[in-house]
Amino acid sequence: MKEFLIALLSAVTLQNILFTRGLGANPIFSISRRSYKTSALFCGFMAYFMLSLTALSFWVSPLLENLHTAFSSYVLRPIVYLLILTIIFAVTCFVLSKLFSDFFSENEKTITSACFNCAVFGTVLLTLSKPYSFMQSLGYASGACIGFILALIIVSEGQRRIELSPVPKSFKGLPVSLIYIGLISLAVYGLVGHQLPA
Amino acid sequence: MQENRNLPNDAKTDTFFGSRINRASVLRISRRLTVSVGNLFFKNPILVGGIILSPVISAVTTFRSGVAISIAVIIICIPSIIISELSSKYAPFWVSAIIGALVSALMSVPAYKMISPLSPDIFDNIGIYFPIIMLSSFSSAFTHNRKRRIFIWSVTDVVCAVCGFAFFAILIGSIREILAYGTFNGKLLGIEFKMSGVAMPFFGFILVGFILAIVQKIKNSTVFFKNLIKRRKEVQ
Amino acid sequence: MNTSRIQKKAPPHIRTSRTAPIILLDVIISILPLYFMAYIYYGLRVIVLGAIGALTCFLLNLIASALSSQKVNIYNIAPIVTGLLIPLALPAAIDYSIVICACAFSILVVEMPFGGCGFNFFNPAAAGIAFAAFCWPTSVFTYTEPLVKLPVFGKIVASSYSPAYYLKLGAVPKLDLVDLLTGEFVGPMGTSCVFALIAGFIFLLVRKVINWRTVLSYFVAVIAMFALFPRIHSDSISSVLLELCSGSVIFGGIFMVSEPVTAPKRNIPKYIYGFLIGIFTVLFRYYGGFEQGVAFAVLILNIFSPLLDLYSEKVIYYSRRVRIARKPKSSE
Repeated sequence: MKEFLIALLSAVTLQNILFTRGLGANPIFSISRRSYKTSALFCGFMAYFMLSLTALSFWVSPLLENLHTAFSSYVLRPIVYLLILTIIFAVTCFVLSKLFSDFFSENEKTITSACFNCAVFGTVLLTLSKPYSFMQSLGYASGACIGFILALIIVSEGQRRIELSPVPKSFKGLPVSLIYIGLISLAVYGLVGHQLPA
Repeated sequence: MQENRNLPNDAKTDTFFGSRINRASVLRISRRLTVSVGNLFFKNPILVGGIILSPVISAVTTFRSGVAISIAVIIICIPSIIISELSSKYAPFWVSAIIGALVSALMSVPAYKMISPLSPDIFDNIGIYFPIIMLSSFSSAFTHNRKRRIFIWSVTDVVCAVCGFAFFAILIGSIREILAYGTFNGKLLGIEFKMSGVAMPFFGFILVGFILAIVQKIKNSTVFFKNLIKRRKEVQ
Repeated sequence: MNTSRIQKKAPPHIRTSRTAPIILLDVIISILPLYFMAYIYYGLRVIVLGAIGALTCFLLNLIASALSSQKVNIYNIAPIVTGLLIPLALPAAIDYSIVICACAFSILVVEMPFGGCGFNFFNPAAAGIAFAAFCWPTSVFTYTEPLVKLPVFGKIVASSYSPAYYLKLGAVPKLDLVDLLTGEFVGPMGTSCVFALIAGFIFLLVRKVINWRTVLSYFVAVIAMFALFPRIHSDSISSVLLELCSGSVIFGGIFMVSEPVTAPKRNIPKYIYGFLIGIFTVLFRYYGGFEQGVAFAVLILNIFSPLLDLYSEKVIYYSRRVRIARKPKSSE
């Protein structure tokens, strides 16, 4: 339990998926503009895909343990994790389209973008590149999810403030949001210190 | 058709040596081409939607890694988007997303082969951001808002957008390498003033934001680009 | 109707003698004792550093407002305050180029994209110091001995570390109480002399420039955290004093925490804001990557200050409604 909590806390603060690693900027920008219901749905599905992918990949990764070349760690392993993710996604979509077809057809694009984005895949790659136990991996994945939701809240609050400020015309839209996230990242790096993330 | 609105009246009858190509079609093709080339800057993934930002922010800290990420994006993303767009006509959206992901997984092997000769430790620099390109949500930007889907224009749009991404990734990599390490492509430039914090992700966000702001300033100010935007609205 | 006595004037219709330049001049006056003490310890270089910082910020602010098509106001002295604050938290031996870059960052990245001076979301001085700490970690945290006059031009080799560095390693720096309070120890240029800082603080309080709520809650939180979780196991008063005086804790509390643009506007959030900054400062000092933590704590809480205002307004509104509903209705 303790290792779960420590991994969770480090994933939320020190290795925050957006502010420290830079993953997941696109989902945050597209989701922060939409309604609360879509954001909640997106975050829920993202948590589901992240945790299920981490759990399943953890059981598969001992089979790939003997391969240590660059090709295996940068191409083979990610392809295996991607295949697992597509299987999870295909099964989920198939079940939802048969059982809850109205809900699924309304939210098809949200569910697809919740699955196929950098945050989910990046978390799994990060978790499984470290010598974590099963509970620690799950803790890290949950922490990444909580960190993403926190980042989403902070960025939407920031965008609300930005809309009320006299931003210069050339900075309106994406540039000023990126600079805002960069300054928050600068503040969060005070905890990490002067090291590039591994 | 919308595109024929602003063509001169005699263009429809003027033919080239009696062939089927008339001036109207040449004008239409050239206008569409300028829109595609304009997409190099304006519909660029990192410039408009913030797509594929994570490798650019965290991994592109040198010129070589910018080149590596650009090659990876060109090889992985172009076939994957084209095939997922084609498949979206015949299959539901979620199936085309799966097909796109599988194609990008397949294309990562040739991408790896192309990138490894660049430098012996290129993958230590790029790290996990190379596999992440496989799952970038590129396809959503291109399949969502298309009203007309003539295949050849989708291909030119994708190719132009990816080339624009490559240009900006290499530019950002060069700037960060010069500021952070005082080198360019590994060669020392003799600059003693170095800012080591430039290699960190927070500066990546800020630099991309500033480059975007400069591009938006150019877009808002010159007459040429204003006409380009007008043409783009007619075509879409 | 007799219209000759109606006067037409443009708003604002309520004017006082206290304008923004006067408030900012008060802040500059409160910073001057720090520069005076730094001049006594390190020589003329200190004044040149301050002047370069102020000039850089002022000129860049003019250029930035011209580029973003805003009115260029040469009487706007807010960037000068930022330019004077940033060098005070840096060593006196620092290169001029580092000060110029930190000031450029604070104006061009923290103020210009969000609308200019007065519309910044983050404290520009804190962001400039944080940026300098990341880009040049060795230069920003190595110092020279006090009372050794430094040359104005030329590169200076700094090799001493401040007491905050030794505290982070777990050692106990040996310092006399008088030395600690007068600032005669290795440390940042303007943050060591407690007497000068207190003088500036009293001046700002008397002139009603800063709000005592944020500063009081900040110091309560910081002193409580240092007393309850000491890093050195000696007599608690001396450990608290050592921790307080050995860095930019007091300097940050007076000049960075109470900045009116980024701090909350309501009273109750001001207490919460100051308290949380105090807690985060101590956490950053103990567990963060650098020996100083105020700048990062201020940046993090700047994200939440409008949220604190918003929720406190909602709490006040609903409590007022409950109070009105509970009041017995007077009989007609």
